[in-house]
Amino acid sequence: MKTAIQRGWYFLAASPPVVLVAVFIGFPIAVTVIYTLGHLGGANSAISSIALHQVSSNGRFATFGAYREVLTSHSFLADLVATVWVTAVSVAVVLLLAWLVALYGRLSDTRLARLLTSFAVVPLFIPVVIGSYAILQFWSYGGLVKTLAHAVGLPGFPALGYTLGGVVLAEVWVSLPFAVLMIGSGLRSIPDSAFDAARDAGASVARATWTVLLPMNLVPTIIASSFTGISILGSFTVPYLVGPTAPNLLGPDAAQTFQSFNEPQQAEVIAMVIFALAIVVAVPYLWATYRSNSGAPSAS
Amino acid sequence: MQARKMRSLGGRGARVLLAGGMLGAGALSASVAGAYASTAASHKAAAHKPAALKGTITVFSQGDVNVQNLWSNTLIPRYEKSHPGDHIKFVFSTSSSENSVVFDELAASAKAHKNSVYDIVDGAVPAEAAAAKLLAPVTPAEVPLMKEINPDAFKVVNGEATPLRGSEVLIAYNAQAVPNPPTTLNGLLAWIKAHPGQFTYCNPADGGSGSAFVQAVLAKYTPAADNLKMSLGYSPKSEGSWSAGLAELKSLTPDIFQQQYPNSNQGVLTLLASGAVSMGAVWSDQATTALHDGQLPKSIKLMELTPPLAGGPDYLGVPANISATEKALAFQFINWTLQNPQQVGIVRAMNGTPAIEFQYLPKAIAAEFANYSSSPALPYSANTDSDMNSKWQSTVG
Repeated sequence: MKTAIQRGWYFLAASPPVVLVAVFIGFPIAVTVIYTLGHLGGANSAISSIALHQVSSNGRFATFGAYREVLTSHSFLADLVATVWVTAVSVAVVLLLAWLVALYGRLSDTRLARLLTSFAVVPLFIPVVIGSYAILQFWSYGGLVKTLAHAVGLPGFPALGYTLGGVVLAEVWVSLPFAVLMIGSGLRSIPDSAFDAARDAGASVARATWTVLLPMNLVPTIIASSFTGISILGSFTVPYLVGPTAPNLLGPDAAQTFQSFNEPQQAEVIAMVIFALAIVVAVPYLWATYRSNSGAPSAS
Repeated sequence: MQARKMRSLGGRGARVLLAGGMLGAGALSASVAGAYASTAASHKAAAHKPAALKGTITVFSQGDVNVQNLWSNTLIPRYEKSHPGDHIKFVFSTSSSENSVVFDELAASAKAHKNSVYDIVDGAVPAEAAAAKLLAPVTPAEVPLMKEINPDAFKVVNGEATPLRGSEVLIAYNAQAVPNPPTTLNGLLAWIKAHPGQFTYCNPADGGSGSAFVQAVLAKYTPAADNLKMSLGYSPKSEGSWSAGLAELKSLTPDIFQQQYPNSNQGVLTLLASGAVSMGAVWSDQATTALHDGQLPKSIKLMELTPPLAGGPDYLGVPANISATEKALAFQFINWTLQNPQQVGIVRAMNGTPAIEFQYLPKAIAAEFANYSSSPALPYSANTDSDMNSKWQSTVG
């Protein structure tokens, strides 16, 4: 058992970051939340003196007027659907590709396999804005892909620049390295004996992967998908550069509402929606970490 | 110029005007000396008036490297040279997100009854700050040369900011593809529908050239009195008459290149340069610089529509909440920028239009602007503009 003094020391050691988070993140979030609920005074008085189309609670406890306005707007709903769609498709593609790369690296101990797994991590070292712009140029009208397709007699080949498909492509590019690292290291920590035993018992590689490796690597997979999902939900640079005029993801939508429409209250409502979506995506992550921390049997 | 809209998101607009800015600045001294020799004598007195006040002022500006060069290489060194004892502390950002930081500082310091740290703000901030009544009114006593500026330019900003330079939105066309371009707005709209995929304008939230085009179409269906109201202030009621214009813009979408709106002023130039489109709405200064630099082929020509699209003066504003001495120093500097040599220098460095009316410029310089309207349409005020962006995004975008 820890003594009270020990616990006191632990608390003290942890307190600077806790205080930092409380002051610089917690407080602004609290101010933002009450602003979206119509409290325009106090810490919000400077921004509310310049904003357009605000909804005020007029002294009441709260008003959901700003939420009602945003949540019933057609363009917001289109952006919400686009965000959920892009996130779901991107996470699925990232998981599939990361598993394939990691599995190849795990099962085939050749130089080529090692090269491929290291190669998959390269996007991590290229700034997102550079990568996004390169993808946009590569896939846009007049880009290399479209030009080549045209040259071989496929004039109808789609240009992915400024489409949600292009956003998925760029999000996958950005997110793949982390997923490969996460899933790859999880796979490497599974002992050979577990996989070999299944193979010896007559299971095919596919079946052994499905029944042995997948369940044993479930926690890293869930962590990778949660992190990928949260970062795509809140992403800005990729959809801003690669995405279409409308509908686009909620990140650029919030920025545009804040800056170009001068409607900070509505922008913060959009931020709250992103926050709520991120919480939903974080639930499996919390479950997985709880499970692995509590030492449940199948966790690696 | 485009500073007005560059606030909409950082590097997105990132225009590569380095070469243009530098070349312009290099050629400056020679051309200015020549032009200045022929200047009317009336300016001489103002130019040689000894500086009454000495001190340091802080200037904030935001824009691309061409704007930075204008301040660092031209305006500041010349001012400090001709006004011994005066100093300018220059704060510059290439990221437009900095505009909201500065704007928040103005709003917060005014709210707290403290002095602002800035004495002059340039770029996108003045229009917004004037709309929020955070700037000091400009008077002939403080800025005598304001009489050479079109009075309408002051009305847009409640008389709280002074134009430094200008540019207007023109139609660029590829003369090889379009030998006889339409010269009226209605002619252009018909042309767009007759030539699908050949025209584009940028998202009005992302660039002022797009705003000017959108505003022109909206204005077609809006009573002139309402348009004026929306330029000189904020009149949400007048915005009701926008629906017909928005419907017309929406009907253009299928004929816009790729049905996607470029997300910067530069995006339109890129499409023109590659030949993807034959016509587009562009800023005069930006397109002229691109033509000088060879970023746009010589086959691209610029023309003004009838009625002219909106112009976008770049303003200097003096915060209301600074000391009387700093205020006097700031207005002394602003008046100096309106003198002939400085205005000619700005025209050369930026390929833009002067703030003062053409008649006050040397004849040789004024002749270069023969194709320009002396009265481009007034841009919508900052708040009207925000609403226009929002309505465009929800109906057209």
